[in-house]
Amino acid sequence: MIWLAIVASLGAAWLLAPPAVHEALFVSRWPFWFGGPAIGLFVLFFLWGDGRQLGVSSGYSDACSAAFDPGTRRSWRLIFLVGLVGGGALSALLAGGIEPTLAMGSFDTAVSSAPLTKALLFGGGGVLIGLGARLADGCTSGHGIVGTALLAPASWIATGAFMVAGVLTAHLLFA
Amino acid sequence: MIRTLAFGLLFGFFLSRVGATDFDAIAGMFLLVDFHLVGVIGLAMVVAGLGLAIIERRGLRSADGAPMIIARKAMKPGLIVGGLLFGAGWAMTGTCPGTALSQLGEGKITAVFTIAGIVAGTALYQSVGVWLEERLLSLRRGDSARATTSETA
Repeated sequence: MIWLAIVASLGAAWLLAPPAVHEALFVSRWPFWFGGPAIGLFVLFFLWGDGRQLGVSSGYSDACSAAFDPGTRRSWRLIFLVGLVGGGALSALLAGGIEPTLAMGSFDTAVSSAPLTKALLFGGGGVLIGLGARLADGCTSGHGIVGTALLAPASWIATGAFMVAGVLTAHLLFA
Repeated sequence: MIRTLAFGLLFGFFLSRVGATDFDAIAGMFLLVDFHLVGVIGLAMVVAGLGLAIIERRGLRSADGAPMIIARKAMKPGLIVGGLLFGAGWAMTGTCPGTALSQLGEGKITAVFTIAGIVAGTALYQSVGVWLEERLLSLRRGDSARATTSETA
C-alpha cells in the first residue's frame, strides 16, 4: 500500500497546503536545498519501499530488448520509465497545465529554433547519451547520484567524464 | 508493479519540480554560470550517501522484510569513453535519460527526438558496442597473457 501512501500524500499536499506552501511546492521551482535532499531521500525511500536501487538508463536497454525478448517486457525498469513520463505530466498539470511546445529555452536563441535542426541535434545528442550510458554502465542517476553516494570509484570517474565533456560541449555549442 | 509505477511518478515529479528538466538550468551548469543543479546533485548525493551508509552498516531491511541489496558499479573498459560521450549528449540536449521522459510528460516535444536518439544509441551499443567491448577485453587479455609468458621466459 506504499503506492497509495505516495498518491495520498501528493493529493493531501495539493488539497491542504496553505497558499504560500502550495505555490512553493507545485508552481515555483524547488530551491536546491529542498530539491537536493528530496532526491536523496527518494533514493532511500525507493530502496526501502520497493527494494530497487535507483538507475534509469538500463531501462532503455530493457526497452530495446523487449522487442525480441518477451521476458523483459515485465521488467520493473520499463514500468518505472512510464512513471517518469507521468511524473512530468503531473508536475506540469498541477503547475498550471500541459502546453505542448517545441520551445527549448535558450537553445532556440543561442543555437537554432528550426525544427529540423532541433530534431537532428537532439536526436544525435540522444544517440550519444544512449551509447555513452551503456558504455559507462550508468547515467546521472545510477552513477551521478547513487554511485557517487556509495563512493564507488567507477561512478566518480564516470561522473567526472560526464561533467568534463558537458562543460566542453556546452562551451562549443554556445560559442 | 503499481508500486514501482508510483515511485516512477514521484521521481519524474521531483525531477520536474527541481528544474532538472529545464534546458537553461543544464546549460547554465555546463557553462559554469548557474550552480542550482550542482547544489541539487551534491545535496542528493550527501543525503543518499549518509542513508545508504547507515543501511549498509546496520544491515537494515526493506518494507517487505528483505535485505536491502546495494551494488557498486564496477570499472569497465568503456567507462571513460562512454562517460565523455554521455556528457556531450547531456549538454547538447540539456537532457539525461530520466529527465527526457519527464520532459515528454511536461509537453516538451523535443524530448521525442532525444528519447528516440537514446533508444537508438542503446540499440547501437547492444549491436556494435558489445562486440567492440569484447574486442577490447580480448586485446587486454592477450597483452597480459603475453606479459606473463615473457615473465616466465
